[in-house]
Amino acid sequence: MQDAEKKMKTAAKKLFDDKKVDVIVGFRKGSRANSSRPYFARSAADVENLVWNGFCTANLAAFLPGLFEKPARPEDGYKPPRIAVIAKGCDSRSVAGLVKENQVPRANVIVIGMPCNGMTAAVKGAQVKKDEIGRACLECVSPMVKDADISITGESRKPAKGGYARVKAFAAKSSEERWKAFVKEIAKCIRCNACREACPNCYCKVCFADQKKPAWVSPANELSETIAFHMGRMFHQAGRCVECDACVNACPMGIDLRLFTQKLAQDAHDLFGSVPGISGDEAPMLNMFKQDDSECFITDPEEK
Amino acid sequence: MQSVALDIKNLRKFTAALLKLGTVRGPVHSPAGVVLADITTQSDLALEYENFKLPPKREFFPQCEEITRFDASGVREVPVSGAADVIFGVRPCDALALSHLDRVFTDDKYTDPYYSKRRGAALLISLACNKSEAACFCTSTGGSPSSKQGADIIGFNLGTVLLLEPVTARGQAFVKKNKSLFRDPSAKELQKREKQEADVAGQIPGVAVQQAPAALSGKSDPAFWESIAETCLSCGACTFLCPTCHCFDFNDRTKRDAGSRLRVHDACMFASFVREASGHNPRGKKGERMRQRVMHKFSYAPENFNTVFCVGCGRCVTACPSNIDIRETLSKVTA
Amino acid sequence: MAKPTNNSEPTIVAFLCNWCSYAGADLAGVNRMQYPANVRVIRVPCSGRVDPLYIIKALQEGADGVVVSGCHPGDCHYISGNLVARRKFAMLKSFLEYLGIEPERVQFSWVSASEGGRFASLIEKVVDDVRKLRTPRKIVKEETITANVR
Repeated sequence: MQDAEKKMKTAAKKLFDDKKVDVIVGFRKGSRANSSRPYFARSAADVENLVWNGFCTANLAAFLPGLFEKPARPEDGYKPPRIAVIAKGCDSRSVAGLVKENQVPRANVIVIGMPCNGMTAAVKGAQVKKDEIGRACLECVSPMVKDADISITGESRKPAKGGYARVKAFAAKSSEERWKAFVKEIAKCIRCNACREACPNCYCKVCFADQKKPAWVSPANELSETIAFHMGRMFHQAGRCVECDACVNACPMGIDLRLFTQKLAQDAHDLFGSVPGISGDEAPMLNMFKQDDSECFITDPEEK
Repeated sequence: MQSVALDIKNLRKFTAALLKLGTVRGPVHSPAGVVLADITTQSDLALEYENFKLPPKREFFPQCEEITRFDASGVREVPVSGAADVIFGVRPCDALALSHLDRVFTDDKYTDPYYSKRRGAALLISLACNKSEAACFCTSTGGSPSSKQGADIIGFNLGTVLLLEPVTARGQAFVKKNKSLFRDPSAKELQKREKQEADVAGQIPGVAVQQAPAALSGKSDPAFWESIAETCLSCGACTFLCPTCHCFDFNDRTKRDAGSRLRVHDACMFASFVREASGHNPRGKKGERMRQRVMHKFSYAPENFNTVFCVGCGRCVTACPSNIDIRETLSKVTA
Repeated sequence: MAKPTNNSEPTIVAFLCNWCSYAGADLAGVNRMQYPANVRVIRVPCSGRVDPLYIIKALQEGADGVVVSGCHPGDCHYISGNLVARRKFAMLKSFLEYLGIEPERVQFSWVSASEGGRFASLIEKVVDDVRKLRTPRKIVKEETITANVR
């Protein structure tokens, strides 16, 4: 891993020396024990601060839409910045999604693909033990970086088999049990929006939860509102979620959002064969259709 | 005031005495760790824990609170509810934070009835820290692991004995009333307490808090704040977990032809915090919002209340998804 | 929790597309077909216009059930609105069911402008299904906020 870090720094330095990038989005050492944190390197001198280790948990693609945001009054000849991103498999899938959704100009992004051995989960909830590789990484089917512009070689995790065992186990419970478990989990929420802000897919300028007219949900941590917020936010990830667990790691209350968002990933795959950021769909899954898409959920009143 | 000693073997009796006062909230084991929750039986009380994940301000100033209710017939006030009679086990940093909030919510001119009613109802027993956590920096903010400010009684867990020192007349009255539970502490116990206080305080590293107010008055350079906040996600984890943050917003929540007006915590780190109806956002950039939060705590509060509004509990340090560390921010400010 | 719905008449919110299902409902009316009066119709330009938030919001505001109906696949006035909607609803229905909302509460169907009878039987079926549910309504806003949430 130290080897990969060295190679990454060399590559990063070269990008600055060749004047190919304005910013490199990566990680630097965190202030907490055993931690790394997002970092924007803006010059060759900053490259020294970059790190690569087992704590590079955050999904850095989440910063891209903000970095590419046009100024309110762009000057004549405004050009979007050129940004390199230190990417794990999940980050690269998110970049692919953002490109597909026209949030990020692919030509201005340099994906530096890193070998990933799985990252330590942020310790906030009771369900993850300290200094353990997060569930997202244990279940990761795509540790390899997709469409890297620069590939840093090194030892990498083997892709997991997938199979959504937890989702299947949860789905096997009764409807009442599922609802109870869902509400119990969501009731921990303090509505800080960390899940939303940490998610690369949540780039909306004004989130439905912040809209006042109509006020879809109140910002109060009142149960019904909180449930509606999470249902809405999670469903917006349908066919887009790359299961990176950025939301789970950001949540200060340790809510197991993965148990629910993973269902969307499973359905995207099972119903429409879409694996966000991996299958080469030309458009976001829910913007497309096929003539023979499943109709099994349609109520036919004349069916006896 | 004179401390008294409670043998831990009598803890159940002590809890029973608390329960006699009414609703008791204290440290309780839960799947998510030790949380501040209702104590219903004598054996609920936990004594070994670091600190609660959620700040105890929420006991007095809940995140969501119904103020009025309205329908076609008119508007009615909702009486204050949910007040606890005893709150046990608050850490000294959080008790100090409450004494800061007291000054915000109750001053000569204006009193917030919701906060002050709950605050007035509760006997606050804080519990001095036996050890420090990695993110603690209370000794730099005017507090300490055994700071008494804000509490009615402060407790010291010495393993087999709980030393209780009344801080206010109310605390004194409670101790007096239940004096059969307590005995005078031995000189050895008092020594142990002193040593423990000094030991824990000694573990806590110093942070440049006291120099911050003066340094901040000249820090208006947008580029400086943008550099601090560039990886900020604009979530509210730091503010919602802060024991002194107290900004709120009013929200109407309607259902068909009736509804409620709610007071809800708000966070200055949200992009929507000061967004105006026109769509204009006076603090549209992350750096501007970060500057506001730091200035409020370390510049405006000292101006208005003569103290920084940070108690060094370290919650924001632990919770920030991007690990933006207020200790580092302050050292950059004062550099 | 809210009362189980089997004690009272359920309220069903129906999102009907302007071009087919709404016209189908009209036809049912013109033909004087009988169907339960529990349904509250909201006309939308296309089933593709129905945002999942509409459905969540309807449940939250106290609807006992929601039904969305549009043109049959292939007949959409906007060529493909209902086909895009079909994917979205497949995901939504499965997701809500996974979270514990009974599948009977949220239903989707196709009714054309000439199918007045189909519309009437659709509403009959949905009302019947919802009436049979013995579990309490979910995600409904409480009339009052019972305790101050800490």
